[in-house]
Amino acid sequence: MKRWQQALAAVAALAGLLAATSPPGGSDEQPMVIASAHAGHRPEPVYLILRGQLSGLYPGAVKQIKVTLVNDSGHTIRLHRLAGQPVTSSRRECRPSPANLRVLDYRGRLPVTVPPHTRRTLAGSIPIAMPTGATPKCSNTRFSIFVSGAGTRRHR
Amino acid sequence: MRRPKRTVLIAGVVLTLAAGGTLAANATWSIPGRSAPMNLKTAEMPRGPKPNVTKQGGAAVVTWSAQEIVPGVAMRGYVITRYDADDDSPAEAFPAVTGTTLTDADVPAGKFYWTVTPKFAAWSGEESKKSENVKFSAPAAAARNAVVPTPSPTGPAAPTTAATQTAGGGIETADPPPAPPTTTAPAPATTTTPPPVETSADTDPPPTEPEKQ
Repeated sequence: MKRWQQALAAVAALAGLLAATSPPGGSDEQPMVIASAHAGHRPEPVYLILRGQLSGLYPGAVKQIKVTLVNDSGHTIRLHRLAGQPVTSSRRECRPSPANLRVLDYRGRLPVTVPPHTRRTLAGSIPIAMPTGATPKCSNTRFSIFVSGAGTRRHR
Repeated sequence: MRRPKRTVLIAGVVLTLAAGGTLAANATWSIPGRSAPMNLKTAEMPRGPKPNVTKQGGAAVVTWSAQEIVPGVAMRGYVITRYDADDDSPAEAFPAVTGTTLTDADVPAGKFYWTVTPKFAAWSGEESKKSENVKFSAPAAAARNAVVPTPSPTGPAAPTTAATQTAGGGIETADPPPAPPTTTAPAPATTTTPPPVETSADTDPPPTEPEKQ
C-alpha cells in the first residue's frame, strides 16, 4: 500500500471514530439545554411546561409532574434527558436537600422528537418525593424546583 | 524521509480539520434559560381535635375525631396528654396511638383535663384545646394500685396505672403510683382482683414500660 493510501485510510478511520462517538442523531444535531418556562417572562423558542398537583406534600408522598416540550423554533428538537432538583425553600430550617425533597429521574421513554413549531406532552412524568424522614420544619413550606432538559437541535 | 514527513504533515492537517469541524458542529448550544422554578407546597399539620372525656369508674375514656393530613390520607397517630387542672402541669403523656379512643385506666385523685396532638411520621401538629375538667376521687385508684402490680424488666414490680388504647393499635404505658405500694414482693399481673373500672375495651393490665417522663 502506498503512503498516500495509508494516510487516506488513517483519515477514514478517524472519521469513523468521530462518527461513532458523536451525540445521538448524528453530526447534523447540536446539543442544547432546554429550560422550563419562567412565569412572567417571555419564554425561549424551546422550553418546558410543567404541570402537576403541587400542593399537599407530606412525608412519604410522591407527586408526579407532567412535562410538555414546546418547540417554537424552526428546528426539530430531540429531548434526550430530563433532570430536576429543589432549589429553594421558604423556611431556613427546611433545606431544599434530598433529605427533605427529591426530584427523581424522569420515568418514561426518551428520546422524544418534537418537530418545528409544535409541542408535545411527554407520556412519562417526573416523580417528586418527600422522604419519610423529612424534618418537621418542612411542614407548610414552599419549595421551588428547577427542571431542565438536554437535547439536540437538528439542522434542516 | 521526505515522503513520510509529507504524508504525516498532510494527515495531521486533515485530522485537525476533521476534528475541529466536528467539534464545531457539536458545540454545546444552550438556550439562554433563566432559572425557571416550579413551586411546590407541603402539607400543614393541623391542630389536634379537642377531645371529649367521660368518666367510667376510676378511668377516663378520651375520644376525639379522626384527622387527615391531606384529604384521603389519615393521620398516623395521636399523642394524648393528661394535665393536672389545678396547675396545668402535664401529669402523663401517653405514647402515640393510631385510633380515636384512649382509656386512661387509672386516674389518680384530682382534677384533670386531656389534650390531643396529631402526629405524622416525625411531624407534629399543634396541641388541641383542652378537654373539660374531670374530677377523680382517691379511693378507686388507690385501691386498684394496691392490687395490680406489674413486673418491671428492670427491677421489682411496682403498682401501676394503665392506659389502654381502645381503637387501633395497643400502646400502653404506666406511670408512678400516686401512693406507696402496700406490698413489696413482685406478684403476677394476673391478679384475681378485678379492676374497679369498666370500659368497652380490653382492660386487662398489659405489659408495661417504665415511665419516660
